[in-house]
Amino acid sequence: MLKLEKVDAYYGYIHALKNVSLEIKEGNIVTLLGANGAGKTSILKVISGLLKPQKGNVAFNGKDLTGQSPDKVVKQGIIQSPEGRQVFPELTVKENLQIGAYTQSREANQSLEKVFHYFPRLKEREKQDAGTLSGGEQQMLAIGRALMAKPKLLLLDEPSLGLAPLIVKDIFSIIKEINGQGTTVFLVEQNANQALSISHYAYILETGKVIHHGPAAEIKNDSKIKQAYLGGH
Amino acid sequence: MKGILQNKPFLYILTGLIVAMIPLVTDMDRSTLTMLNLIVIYAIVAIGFNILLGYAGQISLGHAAFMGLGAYISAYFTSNFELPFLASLLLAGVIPMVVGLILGLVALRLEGHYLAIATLGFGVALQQTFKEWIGFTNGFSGARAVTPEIFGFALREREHFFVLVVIVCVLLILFAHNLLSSKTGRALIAMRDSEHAAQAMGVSLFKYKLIAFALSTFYAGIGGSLYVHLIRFTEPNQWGIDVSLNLLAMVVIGGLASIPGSVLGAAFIVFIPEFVKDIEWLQNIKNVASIFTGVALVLVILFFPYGLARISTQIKASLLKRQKQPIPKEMEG
Amino acid sequence: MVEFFQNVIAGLETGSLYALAALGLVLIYRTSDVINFAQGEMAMFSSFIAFTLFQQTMSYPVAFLGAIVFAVVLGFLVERIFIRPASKATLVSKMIITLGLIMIFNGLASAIFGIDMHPFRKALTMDNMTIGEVIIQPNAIFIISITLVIMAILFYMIKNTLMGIAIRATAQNETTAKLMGVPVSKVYSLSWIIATVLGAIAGVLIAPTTNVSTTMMAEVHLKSFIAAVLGGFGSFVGPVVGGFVIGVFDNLVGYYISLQWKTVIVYALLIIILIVKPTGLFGKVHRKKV
Repeated sequence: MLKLEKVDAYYGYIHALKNVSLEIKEGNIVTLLGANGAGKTSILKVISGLLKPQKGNVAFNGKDLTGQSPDKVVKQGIIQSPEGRQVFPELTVKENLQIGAYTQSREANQSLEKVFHYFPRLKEREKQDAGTLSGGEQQMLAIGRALMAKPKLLLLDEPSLGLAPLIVKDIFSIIKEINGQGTTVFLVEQNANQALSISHYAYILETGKVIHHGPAAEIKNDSKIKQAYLGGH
Repeated sequence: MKGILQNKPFLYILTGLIVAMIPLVTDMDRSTLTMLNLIVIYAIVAIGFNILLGYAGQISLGHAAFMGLGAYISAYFTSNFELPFLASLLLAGVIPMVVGLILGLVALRLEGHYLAIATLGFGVALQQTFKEWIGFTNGFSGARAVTPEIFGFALREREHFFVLVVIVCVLLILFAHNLLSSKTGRALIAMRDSEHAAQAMGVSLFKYKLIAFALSTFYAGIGGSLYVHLIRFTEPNQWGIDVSLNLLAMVVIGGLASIPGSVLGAAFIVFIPEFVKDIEWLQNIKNVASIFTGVALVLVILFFPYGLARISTQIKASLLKRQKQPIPKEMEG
Repeated sequence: MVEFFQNVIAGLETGSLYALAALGLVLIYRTSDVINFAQGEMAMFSSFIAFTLFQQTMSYPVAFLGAIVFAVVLGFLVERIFIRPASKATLVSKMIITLGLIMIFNGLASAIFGIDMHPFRKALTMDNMTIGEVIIQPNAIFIISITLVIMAILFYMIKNTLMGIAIRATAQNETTAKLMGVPVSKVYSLSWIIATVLGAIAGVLIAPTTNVSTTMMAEVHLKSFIAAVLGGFGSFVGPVVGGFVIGVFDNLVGYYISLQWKTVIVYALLIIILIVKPTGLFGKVHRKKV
């Protein structure tokens, strides 16, 4: 569905991604693991069009997406829920969701129902400013906002960051449910165990390079890999 | 010898000496002499402005008014109280500095852009005061200033006045140079490079912005005093926002955070109208100098952020950078 | 008391124009992080267009609409040519660009239109009405109401339409707005266009008072900044209220205290606001964009 081929990207003079190739198959949950600064967020930025790769290309269902502006990428059916949630604090919950549907405004109401089905809490707080929500609620809003774009591929950047374990569990089970409804998910996480347990496939990134990839179950059970790259938990 | 030539203060003094001599040994007409005097006077104001903009990253839109304040103070005290010229020159620097300190205390406490807005208003309000406070400024009729005398020697000729402005300019350059090499200067330079980093190192941004602003108003006042004794006349309309914008243009076009840049910038802005006068097809267009300056200002910000002073260094650097830029594939191998 | 009301009405009239201009300043500041010091000069240029069109056609509506159309194009071009190339530059650099634009527009206006002052007609030229002993100019009522209508439309748009929500989202967090598919460059263009049009309307409506000249906007421009500081750069409603307050205050000071020292006194008000309530009457602390 989505293919990155030999992507090289720079942040100023920092060589953030080195010859990265990866593939996300339709219907899967694919996880990208790696330490801070390994280049995970850079990969998402390249896919979303925030960072133009120096070399290599990005293709979505056979269409070339390399260097497209973010709004064009969203129109193709790829949307990202960024790290740190980044809800619009002075917009209401509903307005945040409406922005998510910016490219799909005609079917916004239908999507709204669906999002409220996943996150009933959001419906209760519909008219509240997003800045007043708790961290967990903000994360739900961030995912819900992305779903409003009716994505074929949902990119999630560290959805578990800074949340209590119980809420993390909830969030992961909802991600699984979203995937069950037919949305492909590309998950970037530091929380390796939980991410791997819901994923089909995984990539491990270190200093801008893909150093390992394989079915999630295999990686989960490979003690060597876990020891070397995933903090040995 | 080489060691001495790398000593910046020595170079400034040497350059000043040579420049001050030029009109004495050559035969220049009066208007050229006036222009040379003006370049040095504006250079003084621009150097002060540069400490504010180049290091503290703050814009003032009221520096013309501070300059005007210095001019009126000097004209008033030398004419009405027969205060010696050098004493009123100093007063013309100190009073605007005190006013600047007070304004800075209010506007610099806040983050961001408030100084620009506060000085925009201050410039208009002070100019209005020049118009209305007739006892001090003689209103629209304008104030006259006496020929300055130093230890009994009257600076009647512009060649002689030029020696004075060059001396003042060199002294103030040396002061700025020493300041920037001191602890205060290191804090200012840290601030120029990154406000956040400076703050993390414990530099009080407010304090150093205030110092920079107060100094810049001192320089403006001194420049105003020299101006009024050169031209011997001043009136309120000379100190409007257009002059403040020209001062800003001098600093930016000349080069931010560069002393020689400010001198270059002052020369550039004073020369533009002269330069335009000689181009036939431009002669009929009014205010063409202002268009020209504005365009230069925008172009410098967009393409040469270090100004005239470092244009050649910048071009060299960008050529080098292009060569050094890693070619991704080779890096992989 | 009659004088008091007379001055309040006159204050609301000029205040509504300060409010329009202040709203333009804040709109641009909030979306594209630029303080547009050239707004006054751009409005002056648009007013000259209105004046020239009126001389040609003798039709006020044509002149008015022509100025608006011109402002749309002008706002669009300024953003595209001068501001967008500097989108990664610092706030100070962008301010300097708009200061350079002051020089360019002022110079161009004197080159094209000359430096003379030209009288310009009012929108409505009917006879004055009196209520009690208070004289009311139909034109003043027209100015106040057209401003209120424009504000109402604009606030409705910002509050309720998708584009309005997108404008506020971009103001709060540009990167995330991009990620959600908001074409932020369109948001920038639009806010520059709207702001320039607001300035142009203020210009054309103040012209009968100031005459059309290269310096006509000086007063409105400065007062709109004071209004924005008074209301708070972090709010859209604040600057509008600020504009009306400054307008009324300005007139009352001019009448009861001193006409000559009015500007100085109103400026003192700005300093007092900066001391007492630097975020403005309606100010939330402006959130820094990430």
